[in-house]
Amino acid sequence: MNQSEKEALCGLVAESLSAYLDRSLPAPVERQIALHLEQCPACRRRLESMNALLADLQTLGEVEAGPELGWAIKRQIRRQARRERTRLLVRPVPFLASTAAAAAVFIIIGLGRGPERGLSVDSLTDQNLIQAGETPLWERRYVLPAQVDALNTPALADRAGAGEDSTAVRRPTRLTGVRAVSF
Amino acid sequence: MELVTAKTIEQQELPRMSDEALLSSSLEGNMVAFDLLVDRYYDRLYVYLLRFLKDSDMAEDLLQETFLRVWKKRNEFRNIASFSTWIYTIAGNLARSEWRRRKRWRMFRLGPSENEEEPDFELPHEGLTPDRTVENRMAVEDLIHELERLPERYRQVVILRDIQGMTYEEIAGIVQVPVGTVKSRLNRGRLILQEKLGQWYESE
Repeated sequence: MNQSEKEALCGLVAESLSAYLDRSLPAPVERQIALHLEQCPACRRRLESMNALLADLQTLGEVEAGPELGWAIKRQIRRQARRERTRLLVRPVPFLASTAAAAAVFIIIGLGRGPERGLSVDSLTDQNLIQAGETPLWERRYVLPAQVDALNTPALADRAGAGEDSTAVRRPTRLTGVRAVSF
Repeated sequence: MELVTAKTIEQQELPRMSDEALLSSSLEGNMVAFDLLVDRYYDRLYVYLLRFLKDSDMAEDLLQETFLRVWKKRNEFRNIASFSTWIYTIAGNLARSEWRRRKRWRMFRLGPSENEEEPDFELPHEGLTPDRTVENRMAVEDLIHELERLPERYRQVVILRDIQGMTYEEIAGIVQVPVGTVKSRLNRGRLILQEKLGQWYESE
């Protein structure tokens, strides 16, 4: 091996010392470097120097944070957990939930006010209403707009006045909608 | 009574559980499980942050911030393979952000920062050979100083490998670069340190 070849090899060893010390080189390269190190005092010094540097670097890890810091972290995490729980309790009701709640309240009030509790809209026939002990439709002044004026005529008024509910005659005069059902 | 027994058994099992299992348990509200994670990591993460920033107060602050972030993001962990990689990545990102913030600040400061002050002792120039070790406090002080001056991409891998003893693969996961890049950065970082600290670690 001439001088220039030796220098080239020394350069390669210098660049590879780190990986050599980590045993992360391919086996043939590692063997070549090991062989060179046996023959080259300068590269051996370089290796020892790098070894000393790594040994000192390792000592920089010999520091302890102390238990107080650990406790401080745990306290902080617990505070955060408490904050999260509190936030969950006072969290504003999402849009869908509030809409559903409003709809439920509306339905309950509507059912509570209606006389046909337990009867569906489809079952509102005179027969079902009578069976349920409720007033049949024909007695409820089921009035169409066209009938409003007719109801105000004296003849109809007399006929209605002959019924049990004398106020029913006057009620249609206040109607303005398409139809009115006195639920 | 049976429930209490089951809970007691679970608490006894906790120290033997993996980091990932402890985090799962803490997701179900088990604070003791998270305490164990703190116990396992706070010391080594402190070293990592301290060596990266060379500032113990800042290292403590960032350490607390790291665990707080882990707690807040604990629901997002499911898709990540290793808790260790995850928490080191969070700490590393915080440290790098702080480092860059300080670097910008230093550019506008007049005079040297306290980290750039000269050490208040005489540096020996001879009589020391590479085989001296830990007890040479001055050499170690210099090493800490030069480590802090190392470009951050080299510093991070040197700390993780040579101070924390991690494998190339673990470092690659934390730094999010290929293993080959870790090796080359490590090699470069060590050579820079060796060159800068020539008076202690002579290579010629």
